[in-house]
Amino acid sequence: MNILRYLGRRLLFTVFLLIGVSLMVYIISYMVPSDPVVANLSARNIDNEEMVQAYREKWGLDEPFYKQYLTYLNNLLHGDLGTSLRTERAVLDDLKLYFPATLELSIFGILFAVVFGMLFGVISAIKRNKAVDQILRGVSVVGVSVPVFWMALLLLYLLYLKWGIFPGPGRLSAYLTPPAHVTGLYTVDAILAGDWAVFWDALQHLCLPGICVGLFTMGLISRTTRSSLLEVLSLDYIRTARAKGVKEKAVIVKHALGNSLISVLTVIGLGFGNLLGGMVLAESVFGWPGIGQYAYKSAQNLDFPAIVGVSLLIALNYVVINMVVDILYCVLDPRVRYR
Amino acid sequence: MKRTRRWKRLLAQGMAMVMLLLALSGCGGQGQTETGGASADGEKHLIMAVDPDYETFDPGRAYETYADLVLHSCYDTLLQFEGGDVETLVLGAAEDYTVSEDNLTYTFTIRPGQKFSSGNEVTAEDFKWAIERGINLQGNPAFLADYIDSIETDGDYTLIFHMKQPDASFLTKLTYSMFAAVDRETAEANGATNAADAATADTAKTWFDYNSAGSGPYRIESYTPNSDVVLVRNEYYSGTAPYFDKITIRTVTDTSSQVMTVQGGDIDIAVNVDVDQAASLEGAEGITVHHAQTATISYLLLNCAEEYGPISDPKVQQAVRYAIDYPGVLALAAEGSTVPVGPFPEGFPGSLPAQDPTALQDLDKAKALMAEVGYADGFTVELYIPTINVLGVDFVTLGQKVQSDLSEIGINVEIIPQDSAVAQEGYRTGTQSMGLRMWSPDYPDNGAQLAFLPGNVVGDRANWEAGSYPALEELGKEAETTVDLEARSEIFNEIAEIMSEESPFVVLMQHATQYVTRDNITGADYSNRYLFDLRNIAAA
Amino acid sequence: MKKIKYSLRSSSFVRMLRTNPLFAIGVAICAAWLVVMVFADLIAPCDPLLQDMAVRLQPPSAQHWFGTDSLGRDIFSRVLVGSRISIGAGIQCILIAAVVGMLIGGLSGYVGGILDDIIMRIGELFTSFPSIILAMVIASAMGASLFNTLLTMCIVWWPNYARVMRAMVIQVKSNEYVEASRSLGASRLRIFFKEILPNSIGSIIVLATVDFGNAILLFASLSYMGLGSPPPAPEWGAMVSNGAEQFSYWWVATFPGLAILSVSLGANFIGDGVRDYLDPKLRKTIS
Repeated sequence: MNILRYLGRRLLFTVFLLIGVSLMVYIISYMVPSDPVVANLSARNIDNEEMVQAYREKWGLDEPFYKQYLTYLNNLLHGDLGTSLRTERAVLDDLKLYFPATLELSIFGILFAVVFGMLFGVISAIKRNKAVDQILRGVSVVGVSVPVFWMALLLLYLLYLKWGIFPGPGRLSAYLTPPAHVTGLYTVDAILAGDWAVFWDALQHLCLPGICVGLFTMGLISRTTRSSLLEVLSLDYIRTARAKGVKEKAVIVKHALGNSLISVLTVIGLGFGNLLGGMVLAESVFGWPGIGQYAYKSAQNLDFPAIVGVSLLIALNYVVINMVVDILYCVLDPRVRYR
Repeated sequence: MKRTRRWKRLLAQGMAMVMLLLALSGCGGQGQTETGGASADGEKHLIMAVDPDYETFDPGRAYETYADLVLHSCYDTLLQFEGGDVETLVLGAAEDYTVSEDNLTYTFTIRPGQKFSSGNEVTAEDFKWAIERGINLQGNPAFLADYIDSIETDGDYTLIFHMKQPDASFLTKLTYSMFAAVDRETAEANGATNAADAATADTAKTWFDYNSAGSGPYRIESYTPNSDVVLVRNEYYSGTAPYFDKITIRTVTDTSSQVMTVQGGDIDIAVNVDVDQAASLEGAEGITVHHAQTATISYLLLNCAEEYGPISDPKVQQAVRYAIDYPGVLALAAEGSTVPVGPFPEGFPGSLPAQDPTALQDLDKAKALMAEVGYADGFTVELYIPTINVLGVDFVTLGQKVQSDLSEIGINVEIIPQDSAVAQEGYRTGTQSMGLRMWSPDYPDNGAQLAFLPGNVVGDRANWEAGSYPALEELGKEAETTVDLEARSEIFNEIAEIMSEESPFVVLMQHATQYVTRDNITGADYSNRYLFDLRNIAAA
Repeated sequence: MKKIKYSLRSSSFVRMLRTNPLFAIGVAICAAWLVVMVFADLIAPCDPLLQDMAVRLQPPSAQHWFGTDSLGRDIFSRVLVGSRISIGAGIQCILIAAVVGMLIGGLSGYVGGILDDIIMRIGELFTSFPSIILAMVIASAMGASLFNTLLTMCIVWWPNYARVMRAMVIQVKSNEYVEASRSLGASRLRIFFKEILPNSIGSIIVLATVDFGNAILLFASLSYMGLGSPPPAPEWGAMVSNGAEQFSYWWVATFPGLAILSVSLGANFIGDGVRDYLDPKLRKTIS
């Protein structure tokens, strides 16, 4: 019954997290000296006291703070995230609209990070202290050191404007029509629709922003892979395997790598949080219509229902990813028990 | 040894695969669709790239610049502008109109036989209903109808406006989508109402975002926020059919990307082009770089309330005007940007021509003015700047230019950058000691610029209260109600001369803009009313 | 997460310099920037705020090594003088977050029980919230300023230190000598400051070293988004942002970006060296 207890604890924490995050944004929205009414009403309507009053009533802005928050929680229980002050659409609908773009990009970014991070890490470990190792370690440190926004500009300038190797910002070239909406992930939808031109174009558009958001995590993964691989390689059972004449490649792939996966997993969990932060920057440079852009515009307009919505979504992501990582732990390493 | 070699090979293979991937994606399918002309199935398709600001396509609610691209294509108004011309009104849905002697009654005759995209016929009642809905929604454009007292219909084809007071800009205002005919039957079926409580009772906004119910040549086929709006022909349209069967307005936020795709022939019009990009594209093959004047102005707002210190002194305000290096300011803006006389844009009916920017700065005079009121040693003042980019001009950069210019006469400017919504609040409450602002006239008529007079919408923001310049205010009232164009422009010129000398507003520039089209497109003229009149664009 | 529980000695520092080239490079970079920070005014060839519209957007030349920006300011001078704000902010953020985190984490670990639970959950709350979004909200609401930016950074940064401190406290608390002093009648506060704090500070310093690069990056990102000191202050992130609008003038964004990269790279090289040194198993494998 360990897994049930674990899930129960996680669920409890999730509830705490969601309440905490929404409360935090609400407290900020209450403390700020700026008035969302001004941000969202037209210049002329603001002079009209009647209009301002009606607007406050409509959005419940005239209620005392605790009442506003309780109403919000109550709505939240019913799956209603409120209505955005800026777009006047339901926040949930807005999130559904923007989230797939972010999801697609983060999946691509993580894939990039894992593939190259582990590749670099393994090579580094095998060639430890050789020139290749030093270079790859240098690359992975650059990965965690480079400012995402600057890297994004650099890649765009060189690979798009100068050399034209990759397409520019956006999810799809302007002359193509997005595939019919099924998942919202253009690549997946294009496959479902059997439209290979769109699929290929969407994939190309994912490359540069994907590299940008994945670089940091790639650096972490490569570093962790290297050190955990070195650690495992020095353990007795590997020596035994070697002594038994198992080929080096097999030793590394079968025995050592499997074990170091566990620590890599931790890093992926940690990296995801960072990835979402970098997403805001990358999305702004690449004109990627995702959650980061939505959050940015909402923050600018003091659109608090939208900000709470985004925050909840991200917090939820954090919980889910960590849960998946925890569960994978147990799958990979039977010794670990659900805490 | 053997071991190392194998790893080397693996590494090399990996590298090769990466290279291959790079190469493949580089030359990957640049699939071409036929644009700007007939495609394989004979469909004429126009694709344009914009970085839009629209939030809604509800004709009663929309007031954003880019929304007119869509709304003017889908909704017919009584009067309208054609192409890039915003001086000559032409008949739209109306076939004739009369104005009473006292300018208080406007009678429009609507051309019979016009149809909405639903097939329903356009009647005077549809106009009345839609305008009343717009008024009662109390959305952004509602103020345009402020001087309307009541609307009356007489039979199916006569529409009568009774005014509270003469409004010289009324006919221009009628070009707004708020005054367009909306298919009442369809709209009501989707939650629209013109009742007094429409502001809360009307639930049609979402429907209007994805559909249209107008009698214009196009209708909205689909709208995907952040992606595109697709317009197709309204098959019931009775007027001269526009050239294109289908128009896609695609959201491309990045300007370089817009330009690249025009160059590659993937789209026909790129609307948002940076100042330096335009320069680098001059003379490129197959495309044309257009420059056009806009009516958007950027100005410094200087607070007139004494509590904001020396900056409220009229002499200091004059000194600020003389301290600015106007050619330097214009260097930051699009080619063709100018310095207008007062807040009255060059190009509006009856406006004065722009000033010579090199003759405007006079540091000695500025210093003398400062000394005259006892600020020879200068003072410190806060400048509030919204972090926006207006037609290629980064406001924070522009603000730093102003900061440096004013330091020449001893004014120490502290820049406070703010998100535009927050800056908007300081502006609204009149609590900015000094603000860098932009202003786009609500309608292409100098009447809209009277907002800058004491006690009016913008004047108030600078605490330039009613009664602080009676002679000027008197002229303003006269201008508002004088309908005769010549008499009107004389009054406006007088106002402009006064405001360019004495006012708490230092107009820095009237912005130009630039856009790129493919050579096979004609009629893509920049319009200060609609951005582009899509009805007018055709293949060359 | 691995617990770091060994402190550094000066002799090992010299040995790391000799054996770990990346560490040595990191130390060299950071030392160079420290010198630049102190003597920026003397080294900078121009006034970083001086505008000259006649030479706007000039490419790098003998006169302007890094070119000029859209207002004709010398980018080289701006990058040099900007180090004071951009690196300074990283240092301040780490210092404040470390002190705050240590106090909270120490308290949490020392008192234990429900308080401990609550504090740690709140810490996790802040960690799960992307700092950039929090910063955007705070900055939109309260306005961009160096103070607000630092405040935001500290809000999201302290939990790291609180967690390490708490773990240390719990570990140290159970040590015999602490129990001994308690039985001798020492007050809780005295035990905390005399026994626990000195024993934990080593690992906090190590964490701070490893973290410094990240702090520089976060500050640069926030300043790129328009937070941080108001213009015309030469802030690296803001300078990159300015250059992003003028794509064809590559030098405007490139050089401040390189400055950010070099500092954060240097910091990370040092951090990596320290980490490797402290990871005893790894050290065994390497040598």
